[in-house]
Amino acid sequence: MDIDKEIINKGKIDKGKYTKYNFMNIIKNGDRKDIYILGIETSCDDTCAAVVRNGSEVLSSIVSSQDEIHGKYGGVVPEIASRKHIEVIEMVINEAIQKSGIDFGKINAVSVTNRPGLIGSLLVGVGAAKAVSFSANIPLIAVNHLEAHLYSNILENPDMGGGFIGLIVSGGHTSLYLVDNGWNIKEIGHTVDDAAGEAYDKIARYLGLGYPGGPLIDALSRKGDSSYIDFPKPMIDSGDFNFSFSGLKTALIYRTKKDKTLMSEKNISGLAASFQRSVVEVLTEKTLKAARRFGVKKILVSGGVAANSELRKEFLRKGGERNIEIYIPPLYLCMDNAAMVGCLGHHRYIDGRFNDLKVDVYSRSDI
Amino acid sequence: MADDIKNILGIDSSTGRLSIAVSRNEKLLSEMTDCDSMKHMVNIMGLLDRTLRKAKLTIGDIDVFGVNLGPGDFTGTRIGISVIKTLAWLERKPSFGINSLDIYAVGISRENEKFISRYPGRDVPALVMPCLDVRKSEVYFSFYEITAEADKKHPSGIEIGDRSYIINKVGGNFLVKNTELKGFLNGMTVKGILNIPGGIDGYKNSKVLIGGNCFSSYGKTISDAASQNNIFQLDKKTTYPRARYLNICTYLKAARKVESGNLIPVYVREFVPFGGIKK
Repeated sequence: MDIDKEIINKGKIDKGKYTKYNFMNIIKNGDRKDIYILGIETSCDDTCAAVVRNGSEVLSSIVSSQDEIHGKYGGVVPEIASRKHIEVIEMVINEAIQKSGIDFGKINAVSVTNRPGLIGSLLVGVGAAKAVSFSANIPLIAVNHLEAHLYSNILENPDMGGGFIGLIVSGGHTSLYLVDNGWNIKEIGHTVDDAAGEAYDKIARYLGLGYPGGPLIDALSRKGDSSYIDFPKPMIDSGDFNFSFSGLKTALIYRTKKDKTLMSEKNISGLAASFQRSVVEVLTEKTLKAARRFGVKKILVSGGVAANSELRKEFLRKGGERNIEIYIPPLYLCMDNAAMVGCLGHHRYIDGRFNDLKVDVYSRSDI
Repeated sequence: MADDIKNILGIDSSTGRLSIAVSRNEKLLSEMTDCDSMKHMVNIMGLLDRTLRKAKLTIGDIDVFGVNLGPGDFTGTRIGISVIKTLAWLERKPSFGINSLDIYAVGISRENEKFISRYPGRDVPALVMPCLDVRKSEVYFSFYEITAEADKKHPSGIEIGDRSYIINKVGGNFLVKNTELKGFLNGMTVKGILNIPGGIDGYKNSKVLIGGNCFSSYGKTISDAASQNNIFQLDKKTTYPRARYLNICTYLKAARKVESGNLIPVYVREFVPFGGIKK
């Protein structure tokens, strides 16, 4: 889908009937005034809002998590997610403004995730963002959730620059991107079935551990021997940069069906550690291979699964061995958050790339 | 009284039609409707802007916000609520959520001036029954009593034609299988006396005006019931909730000083994912 068609021509002010923008003067005059972006993110089950100053300072980042509600079902239930978003959306935005300590009148633009994600969830955030844009007469910037993840590290390392391989690994996505020095982003691989986080959630549910699966399996793995079972490492030598985690999940289920003792209290930590080792091995190896193939010296890892302790450790170890810089943002920036949406919005803002108020939401989208 | 003048903005996105209206108190200033059912998210702000312009107002002039909370299409309803609750928060103005049935009740009453004007005033209330198709072969409805003429300042008074009537809800909301609807309607009428479950003992000589969006799916069931009992009359025209009637409901709520805010969609059934939690 060619989303970029909707983005108003670079640098041009929309003189259409929807909004009258008067902020271009700020940029034209070379005035070094601070720029404040309000970010809103509701693509999955977390209602998030944040205020970002000058694209790098997070003044506030509010996340209203629904984990507890979805935990009962072992995964995100889309209808419940949008029901919860609509209950709290304006309160979350209000809290982000309050916590930022700035006056709402200072906000220069509102940036919102409009793709990809759960339609019912995206609609709530985009509806609110449109209302903010209309009421405050500030530009609306609609951004890609995955692209925002790639920008999340700028908040920690403003001088990082482009020229890196980005791995976005979460419950909904497992994709590799090549980001060149000019921040042009190209997808070089993605999962062909389950996302890594999805496999974690499904395995955790199967083992009766709870939800979300990532932290639970991670904690269990620390007590276990990762060489206990030799699970397959799917697509590790496939020659491309795609992933697959569905087969690994099936392998674990078949093994435990054959040998029920694997799920006993004594053995389950070894089982979890072995599963985790396979996932981590595939993710780290393929990402490092991509870095070698494209001749880049930096790797960025983001998304919920980047919170995994083993994944962080292995990336740092292997990166050190192969002389590749590894960037993993702190936890609150890895998980879904609105600060990264505000950060990407800032870059759109200084480029003068805005959306009009007709912008729609999309469940699927490439960067 | 100048300080009593309130500009009201209402959005109804709960059906395939997106309807937005601006009113000053009970008087409609402008109303615009978009029938492109799958495009509410794309059209909503443009339509809102045009409706405000037509009323020669800006968003800052609006004193009260109103929105249809449903029952209606899930995603559509949430678009309207998300926009209205954010606007109301930013503009620091009260917002009211209105049940779809209330909007239909006002709409059906307003659209059937002749029917309404024949009954009240002779100790015979007119009854309005908005009836919604809420899918899963079920209909959702309630009853509204329109009694004697009121003076125009009555808190439950609505103007119909050049007169003002008091409108009040009778009993609760009903969720009934479409196959049981006919039985329900027949059960209400014994020798011309209407008994609304949860309402008062009975109405003599009253007539019930049935309207709403149920006719496209269950028109025959209702027509059959109506043909057997001449106390039922049908309004097949009022098939979607118009924002102008939403604004009247908002006005009445604001005038009654009901607590504003807390806009949460109305769902007719409890949502049970995957048919229940499996252990």
